[in-house]
Amino acid sequence: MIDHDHESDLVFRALNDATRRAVLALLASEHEPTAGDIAAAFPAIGRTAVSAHLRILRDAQLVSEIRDGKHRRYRLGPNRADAAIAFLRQIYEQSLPTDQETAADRPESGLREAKSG
Amino acid sequence: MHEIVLVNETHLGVPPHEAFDMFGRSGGPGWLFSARFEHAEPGAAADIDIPLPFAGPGGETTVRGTARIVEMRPYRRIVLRHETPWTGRITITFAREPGGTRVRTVTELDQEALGWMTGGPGPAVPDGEGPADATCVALLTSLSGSAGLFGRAAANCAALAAEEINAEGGIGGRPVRIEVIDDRTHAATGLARLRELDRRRGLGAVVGVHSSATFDTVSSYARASGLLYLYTAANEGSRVQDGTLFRLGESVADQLAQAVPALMRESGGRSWYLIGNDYSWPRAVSTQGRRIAEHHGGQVVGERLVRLGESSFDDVLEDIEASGADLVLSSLVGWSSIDFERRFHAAGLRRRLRTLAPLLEESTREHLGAAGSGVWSCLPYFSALDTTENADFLRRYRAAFGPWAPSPSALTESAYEGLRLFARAARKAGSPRGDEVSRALHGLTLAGPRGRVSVGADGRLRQRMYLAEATATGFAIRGQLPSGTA
Repeated sequence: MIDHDHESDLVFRALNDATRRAVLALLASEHEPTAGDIAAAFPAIGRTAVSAHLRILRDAQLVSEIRDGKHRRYRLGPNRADAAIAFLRQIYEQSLPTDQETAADRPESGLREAKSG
Repeated sequence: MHEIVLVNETHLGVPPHEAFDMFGRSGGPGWLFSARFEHAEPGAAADIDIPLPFAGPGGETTVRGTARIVEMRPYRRIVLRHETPWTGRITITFAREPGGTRVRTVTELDQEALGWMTGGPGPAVPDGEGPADATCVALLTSLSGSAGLFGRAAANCAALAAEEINAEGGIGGRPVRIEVIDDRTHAATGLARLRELDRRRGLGAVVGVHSSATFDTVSSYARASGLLYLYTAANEGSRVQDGTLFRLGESVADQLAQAVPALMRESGGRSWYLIGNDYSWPRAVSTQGRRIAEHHGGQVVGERLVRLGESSFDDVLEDIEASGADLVLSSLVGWSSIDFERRFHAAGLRRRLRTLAPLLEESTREHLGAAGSGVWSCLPYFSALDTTENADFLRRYRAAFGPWAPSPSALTESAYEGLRLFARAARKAGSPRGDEVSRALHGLTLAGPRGRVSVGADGRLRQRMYLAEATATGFAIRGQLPSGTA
């Protein structure tokens, strides 16, 4: 596979999760919500899990945290361009067929597997 | 040009020729966004479904785009050009290695792709000022969504017009600059982006090649702000000019008045089934199609309107068969039209039923290949027109955009005519003001790719209409008729 530095690897992993992508979409549409606002938008997930997602996004520098009195607010950045490129890479990577799909598409190899299994 | 390069590799446990043959085959493993095409050869149009990280304006999680095969070396290498929703180039190589094949893709993309990765539609063009000395004109079109397959050719035609206008010295000594807006086949997105661009750039005019749903939403903004708006796509034709708004495109009556009786004569059939998408233009086609068919002794035996973007037609095909129709009038648009005609062809219905699809043009037909063969259309331009003006136009178009660029069509070439007419009117008016350019449009004539066109005193475009039949590789012109005969 392709070599990439540690930081872009963090970005890539952070984005490889539908909830974290939804959190980013929320931050793109709302102005600096608090951790409580974000948790409220994902009632099925639970506050602790949302905090864990936010930490992963923060480590990848996809979101930053701002202290506002006793609240913590979140906004996108500073790594927005990296995030967009990581999304693109993920999309193109997943567009290639996998070895398993290819094997399943070959009737004769499917038979061989059935026999050996 | 392409600023982002992505490299992906995978190992497949099959020899290179098998891996290669899987590409583009329906029913096989998903290869490059389930790319589908009729024949794996240079020039073949492919449709692709790209997954999105964020849901689109209609809640969709994938975006349907178009690509084109530009190079094919069997078992070694395939090169695809992305056309929509963003542009780029994908090179796929196949190399034998122990236990199978190493498949490597090198994807080169421009910045447009990034806009899709950040959620929300965002602005149509990057931040910053345009060149201060240029007249900015927006091309409002669709590069994604169900009408997205028209946008690339429309953008090419607009760019060619701008190049020619600027080679003649621009307008009043200022060059014209085209800004392309993708409405994503979504009226509110079109309006938001147009408004935002007008605020930042101060638009001289808008040329529109998009659905009438977008027109209905955007027209109130143009009317209120006095922006010159040339809607050049086929339209209902209900009201031609309204202040600085012009519906220059062919009307439903222009398209159907002669084509409906011609198809009845040609086939001997009289029973029509009407199928279309559920918005203003297809509804007008159904209403007027019924009136014209009945006037000529025909009858309507079934009618169905499906949502814009509908891709499943099994029950419609059953309904058509049960209706006893021998003729079909289809006002399906874009991808809906392609999905319908593919299924219609696969079901073997083409042998018994003749279809008139007034919006089947080159962008749509190129995805159908043999599946579209035998469908009739009626439009003011086909790239097959055998005239000196059209041959010159196509030569310039191919020189600028390459041999495999999407062929211009009545819909997409109308952007060229719209811009040439705007430039001529703005020069005549000697002013960039929308109301003054509007007045100057009346009585203008232009000898262009589709022949001689003129803007009447009522703001309506006078032009010739052509009746054509799709073949597996293009259109065969079957007849010509003057417009405004209905």
